[in-house]
Amino acid sequence: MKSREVSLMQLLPPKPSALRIVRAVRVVIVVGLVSLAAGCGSGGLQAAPSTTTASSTPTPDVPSATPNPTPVPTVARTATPSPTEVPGPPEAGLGGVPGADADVLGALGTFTWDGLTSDAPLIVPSRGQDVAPGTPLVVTFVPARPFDRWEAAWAPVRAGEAGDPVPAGDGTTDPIILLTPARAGVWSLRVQASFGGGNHGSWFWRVQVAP
Amino acid sequence: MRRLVVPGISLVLTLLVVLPVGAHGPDPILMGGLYPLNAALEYRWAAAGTPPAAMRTAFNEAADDATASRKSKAPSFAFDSAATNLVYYGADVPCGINGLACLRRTPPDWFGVWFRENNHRFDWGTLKWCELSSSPDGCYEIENVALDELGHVMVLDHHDNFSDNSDFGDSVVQTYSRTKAKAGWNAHVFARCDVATLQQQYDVATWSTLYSTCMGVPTDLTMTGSAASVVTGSMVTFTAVLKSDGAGRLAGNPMSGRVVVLQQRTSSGWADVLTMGGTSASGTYTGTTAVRSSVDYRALFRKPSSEGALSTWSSAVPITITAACTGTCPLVSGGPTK
Repeated sequence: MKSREVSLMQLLPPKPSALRIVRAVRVVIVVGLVSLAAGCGSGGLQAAPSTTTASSTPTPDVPSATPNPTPVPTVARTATPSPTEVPGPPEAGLGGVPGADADVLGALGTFTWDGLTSDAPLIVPSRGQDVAPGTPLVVTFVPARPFDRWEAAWAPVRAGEAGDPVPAGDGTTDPIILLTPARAGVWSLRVQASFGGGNHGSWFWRVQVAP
Repeated sequence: MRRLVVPGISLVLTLLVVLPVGAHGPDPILMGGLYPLNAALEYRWAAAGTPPAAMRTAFNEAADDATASRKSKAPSFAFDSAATNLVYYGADVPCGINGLACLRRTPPDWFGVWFRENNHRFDWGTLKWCELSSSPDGCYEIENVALDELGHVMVLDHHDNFSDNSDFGDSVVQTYSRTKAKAGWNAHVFARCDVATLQQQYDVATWSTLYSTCMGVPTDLTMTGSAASVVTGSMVTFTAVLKSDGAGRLAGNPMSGRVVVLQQRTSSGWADVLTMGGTSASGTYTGTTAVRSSVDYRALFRKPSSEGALSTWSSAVPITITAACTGTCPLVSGGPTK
């Protein structure tokens, strides 16, 4: 019984792996370089606010359409990995965002991974990307993993909350390509993917479509 | 090069017809196996993360909800201070960065459930548990979420809704629980598609338990007569046996407490003769009628709207009249006939 108690407490939230630390450091460097020399691109994943630590945000019971005005520092992703790290779903990057120097990480939502099932809400990340209607976006997983199936949906964001999702596509093979909605507004993009072995996850991005 | 790729992608997207995807049926299942049938699973509060009183009460109520609404031999839940299964509340949860609650199951040995602490600030907002706050709109009800988690413990994965979520009420074990006061935010019983999977995996609770309407279980009906040939007006007793003919645990189950009708063939089809009564033998129904002419009989089970078992009927049982009644004739309808 005691050992069970210990094992329960040892199951801490997933922490960044060494690979992610290296990538985060690289992103910080790249972001710095980009700030020095606009126009220099990078193929790495850029830390997204939605997958980092909590910050001052609107509450779900007092929804607001105003995104979190406080950018979350990317340095938060360089936390020291815990020896009790629990392997979790891969990260998902959104590529093809005009003006973005790197893929934008999605906010991890509900998932089942290696026997752990987590329930999260329909997430509307506090910060988003500005894109034009009909822009093709590409979702990739890091580390790259073969998946059995994916499906995506756009949910209109009203008063800070996601409305009913509208299917945006599904498939079983790479690449995962999505077109941004034709209608202008704030949208929550949800991508769900299953990876075999009963493992699956969902990721969210906030996308602001403007003509 | 980019000029070529983008139009190419656009062309592919133009040609790709994206249809709304929706699949309605029993909940999917989690990997990891099942508990024994009718297992009594006990839990206690984790010493390092004991939930506040209101959460303990809500979780206990969810345990009762799960036990009462499983309609199957899925596990039951009850609190026991000496249990090995744990329920935790606090900040140290393995639920990922955005998880409200999560669980790990390793049947048949152990499970643990974690609840994120009230007022936790996510990137997307602040978590409010209804029972731990002033129950504002937008809060999550612990009892509802706990029932979702206990469904996971049993084996249920998230229900696959229609793309418009019009079937949200068919499952409590949802990918995204709803907040107060959206429809379904405070559901306290397993819904039909949760029950369907529990029945598929753990079998129905009793032979008279109705099959969930979230599925269509084939059935099988056989019938015999007490005699194949009789003199006119003789009483013949028919015995029918109704069984499920589904897959896995839903194969070959006697089905008691249903309505089985005895029919006889007419010139225009089949007509009901009587409703057969249940017997002490599971899934067995009998009915007795006077036979005055050579005719075929059969038993019929009509799918009721309240059940997911499909209609079926038995093979025809011919009863032949061998001779007209003479002398002392069988009693029919309270008096002799000739």
